[in-house]
Amino acid sequence: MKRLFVTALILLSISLTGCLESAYRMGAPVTDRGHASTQKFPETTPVQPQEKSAPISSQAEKNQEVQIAVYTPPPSFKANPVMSEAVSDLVQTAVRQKEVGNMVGAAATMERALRIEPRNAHLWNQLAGVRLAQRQYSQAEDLASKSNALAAADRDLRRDNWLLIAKARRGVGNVSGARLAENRADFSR
Amino acid sequence: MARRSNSRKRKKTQRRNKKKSSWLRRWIIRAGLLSCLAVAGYSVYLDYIVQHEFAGKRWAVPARVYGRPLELYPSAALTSDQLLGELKQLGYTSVRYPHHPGSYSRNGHRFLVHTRSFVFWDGKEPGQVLDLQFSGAQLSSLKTASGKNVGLVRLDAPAVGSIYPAHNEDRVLIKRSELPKKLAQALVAVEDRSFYRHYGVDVKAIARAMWANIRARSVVQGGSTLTQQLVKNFFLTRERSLWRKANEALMALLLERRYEKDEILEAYANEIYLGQDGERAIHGFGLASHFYFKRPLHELNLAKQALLVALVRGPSYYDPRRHPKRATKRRNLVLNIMRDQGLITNKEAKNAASASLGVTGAKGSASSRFPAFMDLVRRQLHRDYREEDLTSEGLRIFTTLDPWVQKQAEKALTKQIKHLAVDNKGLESAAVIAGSQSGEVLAVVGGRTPGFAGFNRALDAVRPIGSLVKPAVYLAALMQPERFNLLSPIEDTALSVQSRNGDIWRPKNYDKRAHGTVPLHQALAHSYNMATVRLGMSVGLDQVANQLQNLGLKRPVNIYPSLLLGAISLTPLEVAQIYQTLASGGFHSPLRAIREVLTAEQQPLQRYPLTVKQTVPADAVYLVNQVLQEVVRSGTGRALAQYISPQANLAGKTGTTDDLRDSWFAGFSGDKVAVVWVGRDDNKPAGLSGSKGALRVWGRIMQHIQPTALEMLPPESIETVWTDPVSGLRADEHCDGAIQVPYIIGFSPNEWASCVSNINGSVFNDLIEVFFE
Repeated sequence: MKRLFVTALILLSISLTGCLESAYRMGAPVTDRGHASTQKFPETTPVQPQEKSAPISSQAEKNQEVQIAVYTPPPSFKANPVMSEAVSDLVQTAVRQKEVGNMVGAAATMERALRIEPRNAHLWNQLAGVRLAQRQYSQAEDLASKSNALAAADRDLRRDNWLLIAKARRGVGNVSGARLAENRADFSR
Repeated sequence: MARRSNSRKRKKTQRRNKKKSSWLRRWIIRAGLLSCLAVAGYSVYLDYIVQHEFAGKRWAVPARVYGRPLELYPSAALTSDQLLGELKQLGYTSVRYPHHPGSYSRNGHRFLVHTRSFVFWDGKEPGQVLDLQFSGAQLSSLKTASGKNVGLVRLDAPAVGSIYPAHNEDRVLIKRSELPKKLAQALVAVEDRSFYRHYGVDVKAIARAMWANIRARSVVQGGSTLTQQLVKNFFLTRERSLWRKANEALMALLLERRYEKDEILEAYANEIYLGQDGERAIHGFGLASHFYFKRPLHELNLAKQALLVALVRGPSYYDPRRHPKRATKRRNLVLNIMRDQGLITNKEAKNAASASLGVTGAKGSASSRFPAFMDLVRRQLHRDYREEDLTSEGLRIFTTLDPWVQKQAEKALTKQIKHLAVDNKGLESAAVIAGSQSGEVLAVVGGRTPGFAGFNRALDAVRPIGSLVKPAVYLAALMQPERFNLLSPIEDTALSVQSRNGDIWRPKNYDKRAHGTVPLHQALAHSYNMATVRLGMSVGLDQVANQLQNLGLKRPVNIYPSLLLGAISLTPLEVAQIYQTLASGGFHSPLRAIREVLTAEQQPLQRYPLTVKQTVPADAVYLVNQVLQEVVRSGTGRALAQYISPQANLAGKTGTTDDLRDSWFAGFSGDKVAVVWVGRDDNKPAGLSGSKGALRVWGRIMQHIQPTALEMLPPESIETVWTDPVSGLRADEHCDGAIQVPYIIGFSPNEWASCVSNINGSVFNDLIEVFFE
């Protein structure tokens, strides 16, 4: 009985200290570790930047402030843009990827090139080629048409696109459509 | 006898006592056994929980969302300010010489940048030192530090947010091996010195803490081991009780029995709460590093590592942004402990203690940085992923967001709306900008306070589009080349139209005037309502609705005559889709916000490829676009000249709805398509026409994002023919007043006009000349 009483006393004291500790902890701002998910910390004061921004940037921002002048775009190429080194590197990469059967990779590479030169008809043609190899016939045809829309006077490219369209049409069993496309290819010669 | 009876009595009592005590003993044993069983059973249960939680999915790691990586290549259209902005966004530090990844130096127009290595969908881009030179708005030279030319290179993709679950816990997972050694040592030294020796509970530490607390009469020391702290964070609720304490200790013991110290430390490093960003809770050192310093953990120096350890004790109290003094004091305490423990030298401690806190001003990669764009990303992801996968699998989402375009757009919109709203409180706006050929969404602005994740008008404000619908009407007309070309005369005179339910509708022009007979292009360029309704009724409402759908409209269309003047309500995003198809010459590409998804292990999971579909004929679109350029050159959009030079040849269309409730502008350059809406959330009149409101926002945005000039190539089926504008007949080049007009091949005028220009000076002639100036 006595033992029971002692045990109870010990338990009580521990729990009391525990509670006491908890109470203190609750009150003390030092102890908010953990449990943040349920806790809301009011963010009333706006956060002040600790680091002074570099003088360069403030100058840049100032420049932007005073830039009221009308924007004039750089002159653009009306015909096919000359393929930049960056883009021709990507085309080569895509060709290699295509050769080893990495069609998804080749498509991704061509898309990257198209982000750099979105109006380069050769790149659309290349991407069409990848889709054709993947037997995505309708996409291949649309991409080749897109290439044609940007091909301007590049007859060789037009011809290649029409041949590609012909293959894509054959792929879906559209023989008459394919013949039409082949005629267009001859016409482009 | 008495003795006997006495003894019997005693025996009886003894027996009774014995009986009583044995009953008590049995009761105690039984209770003891039962409680033993209960404890054992409970331990097994806890053990199961510990194992299940710990070994299974330990952390819900939110998907990380990245913007597009900046592509660097010689002759790229890029300014040094733009690069600087990108480097800052990525948390690169300005140094004298960039010895370490994530740093750069600048000298005028020349930069040395030590890039970070980064894993993309198509492989790893290695880190290297790049030597960049700018001239004007162009990256003129790109070399390695050793002077070798570089064709193309990507910077690391900027983290722009994360998709964390409803309980708002965000983290960037790190492995034990990625935890900097000094940081781990400091953590143990400061929080749990005997971590590598105890079995989960440190009795001595508890006693020491209790004693210290009693002496100080307040809580000055905690006796919890790292394991206990982890358990507390991991499994238990916020409830503070003895019961929880006992649970915590028991689970700590179980955890230690099951797992290695390093595993526990790794878990701790990922679980520990280290800060708060609005509703988002910052968990783990990995994310905290990005949150406070905008850079990965392994790039942190000693001072910064010490600050993170300092925050463990109270991220709010020691918040380095709000309480820099406290934070510095606590950080230096950590440094001193490290020095006392022999982890760092006195000199290292001193140097680190004198360093600034180095936290970035703006908060790290909060989910709320570009809330409107993130909203779009989330919606597109939900087509393919479950919410729990997005919030827990640690996916890496590569989006099309161009943070630079986004910021320029936000800035321009905010500024212009503020300007427009001087005496128009409650004015709101939204914008969508996309790549015209790719359909990649570059920026989304959901309101005039873009950082605020409220009503996303770009995606959710469904408003009548007014005259923005007109290109579809004219497209439907020009697709009937045997009936209509750009010079076809249209009557812009009063008319009444009876709709199916018998209502009579009398459309009026914006200027309340009738313009008589006008050429088709003029009616669109000047947005004449009466002419457009006549044309649309003649072409057929079904045809117009069809073309709207071909251009990318997904909503069902109510086929009423008022459709012709834009009595159809769409969101700015939907309008952007329609204009994207126009901008890319009739090739529809679904607007995409996501490029690729990688797993947490950086393995390719899914791509969202570029697709095109020719949905409307290129020739008719070409003709429409010619007129949309005229809109900007001399029609309702001519005010754009205040912002962008006419050399840019931009195409666009204004839109205004009844009582000036909605002001729209949609248009495109060679590379970008953009839509802006201005109006009020309460749908009250905003008092702004398309050209007075949205056009000005649009112009200011475009002015700042360097659009390329729009040079349209005529499709094969387009021919340009010298035409006498008055008669619409074929003319000789040398004829007075003859102009070049594009036609769909086979439908140009056959008959020749007599080369006599006797009607010179007529209004009709003047109007036509404007178009072909």
